[in-house]
Amino acid sequence: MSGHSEPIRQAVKDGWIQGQHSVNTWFSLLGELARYKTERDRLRARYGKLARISLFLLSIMGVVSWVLLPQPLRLHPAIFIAVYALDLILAGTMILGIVGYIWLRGKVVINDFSLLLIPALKMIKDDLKPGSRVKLKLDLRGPIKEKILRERKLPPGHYVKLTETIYSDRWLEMEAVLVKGHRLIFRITNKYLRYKSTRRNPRGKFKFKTKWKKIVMVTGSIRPNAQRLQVDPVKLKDSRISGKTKFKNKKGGSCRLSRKYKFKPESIADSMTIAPQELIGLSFNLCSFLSPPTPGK
Amino acid sequence: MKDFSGLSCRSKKGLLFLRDCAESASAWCGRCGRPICSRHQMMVESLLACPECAAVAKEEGPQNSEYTSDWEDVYASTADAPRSAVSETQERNRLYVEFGYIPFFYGSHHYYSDSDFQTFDNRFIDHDPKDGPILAQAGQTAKDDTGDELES
Repeated sequence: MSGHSEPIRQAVKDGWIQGQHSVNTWFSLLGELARYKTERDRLRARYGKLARISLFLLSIMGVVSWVLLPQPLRLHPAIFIAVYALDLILAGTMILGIVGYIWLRGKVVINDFSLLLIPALKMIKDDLKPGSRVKLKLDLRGPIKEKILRERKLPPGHYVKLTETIYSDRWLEMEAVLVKGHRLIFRITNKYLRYKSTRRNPRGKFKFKTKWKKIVMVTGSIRPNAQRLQVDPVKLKDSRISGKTKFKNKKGGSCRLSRKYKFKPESIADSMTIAPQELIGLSFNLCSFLSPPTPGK
Repeated sequence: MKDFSGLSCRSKKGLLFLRDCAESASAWCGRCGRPICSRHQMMVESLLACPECAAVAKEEGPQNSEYTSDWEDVYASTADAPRSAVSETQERNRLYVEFGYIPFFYGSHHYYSDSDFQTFDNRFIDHDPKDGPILAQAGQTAKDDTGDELES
């Protein structure tokens, strides 16, 4: 963690970051957080590699030790000691690798912000009101125990046991003031569905498998400055919103669109999320419902 | 020496809501004639051009035998990366086409070009009188800040 600023250290420690800053401050903070995430992933991969190499060498040394074990007196004691010392060192390295790998897995910072939020903010940067602050609340912890929405046992079918766990992770809340005082609000919730199954193979052994499904629910709303733009009922009627998108015309002159995207990642560490263009497309849809107020009304 | 005092750059910026760059202008676009600031000056076929015209030229480039492909390199070293301004314009145009979006325009002038979506159509223009002179209505001639008629 050395070399990182205090807000980033705190964000990693708490698992979330929130505040109201200028877009450039956010770029610098989120950029640093993305670098931290990359470093952390690289370090974790190194621990994993260390554990794998140690395991491979240890298995070779295991064979050597097994051959040497019955004949300790025929060999020079130094060779005997060296072989077993090497075994111990390799076992220690392997344990270190495994512990490091598991420990860093517990410190997962989700990657969606660097894949989705930073590029999307860069795209709408020029639409933000000069000098305005962007309100952001980012939850970086991913699917953790506190976010379990529901856990239940499903009818097992051909499995011995099948458990479904649903996590609801609202990882992003954003509010930005656009030019001329319009407000753009985004909320993104990742819903994770984990299926843990236990089955018995023909040899009688129990096998465990975990499958993940990820549903990204994006809700975008625009609250136009009523003096300049307002939600146009004619445009709403003529709009060609796809069936996957839900629309709600809210009181107070704002409108809201929400859409679900489904993914099937192999694990929660998989960086599967929507493209930033989807967020921009949703903003386009929202803005296309607006038109200048009719004079005299 | 041309006088650009009082003229502001009319290269477009923004994505959801287009507006003028509004920095002090220091040249004219050799293709569409709009005043442009030093950040938005590109070199296209030996002419100074705005990012919008440069993006159009880039699109047309491979078909045009006279197109000089090194114009990006010429300006790659200038301040504030004008090359990215062209890329941004291209990306913006691509997104507009992909999502069929017609942006709102908070500018004070019209210039006709393939990428200038609000030309001759006032329905999508949300203009504030405080922001500058009123936009030209369809069929009228656009005027610049000084009230002079602009070249067509």
